[in-house]
Amino acid sequence: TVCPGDRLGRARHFKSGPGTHVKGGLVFSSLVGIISMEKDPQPTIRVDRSSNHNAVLSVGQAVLCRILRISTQQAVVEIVAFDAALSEPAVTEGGTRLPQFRPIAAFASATLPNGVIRKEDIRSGASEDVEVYSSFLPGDIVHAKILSLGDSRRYFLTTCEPELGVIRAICSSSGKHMVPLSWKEMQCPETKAKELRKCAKPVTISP
Amino acid sequence: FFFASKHKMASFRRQDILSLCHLRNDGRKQNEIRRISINMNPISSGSVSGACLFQMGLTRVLACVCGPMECARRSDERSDRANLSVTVKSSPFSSTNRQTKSQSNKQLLEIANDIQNAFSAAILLHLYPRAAIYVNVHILADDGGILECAINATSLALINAGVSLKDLVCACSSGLLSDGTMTLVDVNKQEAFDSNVYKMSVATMPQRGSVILTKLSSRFSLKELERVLDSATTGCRAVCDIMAQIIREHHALLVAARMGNVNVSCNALTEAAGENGEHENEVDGMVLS
Repeated sequence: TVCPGDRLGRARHFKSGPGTHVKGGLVFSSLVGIISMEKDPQPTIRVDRSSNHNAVLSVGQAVLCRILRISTQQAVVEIVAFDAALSEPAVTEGGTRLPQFRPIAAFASATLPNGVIRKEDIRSGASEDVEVYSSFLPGDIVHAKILSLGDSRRYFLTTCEPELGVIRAICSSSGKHMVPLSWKEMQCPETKAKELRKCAKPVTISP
Repeated sequence: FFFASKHKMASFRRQDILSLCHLRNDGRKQNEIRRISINMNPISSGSVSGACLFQMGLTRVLACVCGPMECARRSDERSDRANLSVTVKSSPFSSTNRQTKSQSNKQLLEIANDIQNAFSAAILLHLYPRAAIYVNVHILADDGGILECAINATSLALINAGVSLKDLVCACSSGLLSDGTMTLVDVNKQEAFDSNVYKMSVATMPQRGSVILTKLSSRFSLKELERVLDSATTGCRAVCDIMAQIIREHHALLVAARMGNVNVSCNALTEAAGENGEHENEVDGMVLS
């Protein structure tokens, strides 16, 4: 176990890995954790901490968001969770990696980061025939990807891939969760009513 | 009688700075720091990344760290480093006179600013671009030395939160007697208010040996500065030793808990309270030069 500021070695002999920093030709620890050494490609010292997730969103990161309001040109969302699977080893099944979502730390719902899914980013292909009203409705939970950091008010998101889209939606008449029928339809199990959504392709879990 | 010959102010009254046998009003010697008690896990809810309850003598300070996380306002984001934001609040029952309008004013704002400056030097901010680190400090009991206690508490809270630091940050104060005879380490409230004591607060990064904050509100000559700085740095070193020991014990407990090994041996200095998963350590802090 090392504390921040503990000297770990000389910078000549070791490369400084995550959790360490170099000053004056010496490698110091930056975190409280356990030292470990990697031999290849170069002897590297690193300090590992149990849980180390960086909760700042970056371009290309998969997120879960909730639709707040829609217009003819875009859907405004609040980003509720981010995919932490990149920083931690994920369960890989059949080549597809299962996303592990971790909620975004925020003081209140009002401070959750905002995002926007523009009409042309909902589906790949021609965007003239796309109707925001037929893809998302307020309250839906959508699996999207960050396209751009955007401006001071919101991120830009996209659902262009088949795996992205509505994950959870509530039937407007019965209030139950709907089941996806195809990439563009969802059905309520109780009233059998079909509603239009841009659905996410379900991840198949092989037994 | 050796005390009477050395100090004019030596006497038996409790109000005096140095009385019989050169003991201070709380029974300490001139170079002893107050008893330190640290709780590394005061808050069990998941909304804070790290927290620490630090007690020096009767002064208790709770520091909570949230982050690194998304900035609450994206306009606060800085593209190359994290945004460190420190807020200091005081409980109405913290001082001898109850204050509901938390001396929100200048003293606490100044402390917040000092903490922010000190930790901007100690945290590796460039590792967390566009993130925000929020530090909330609550003063629960004020018996002098709230700045030092707050800095120590914040240091441990940041460590709990997993924020990368260059080194532990430890703070201690040192008071110079007006007749220049000696310096008192870790000044408490009564001594600080006495007009014969000139108090200086110092925060250092002990293993690096660098001083990152000094704060002095009185005046003394440059010749005395070296003595006061020395005694404060020695005090910081003592605090650092205690903090490092607590950190290692706390971490060892975490590792043991994760590996499922629940039998933890207790030695005479530490007690672990198992029911709530809280762990409180009390270590005597004494410096004998």
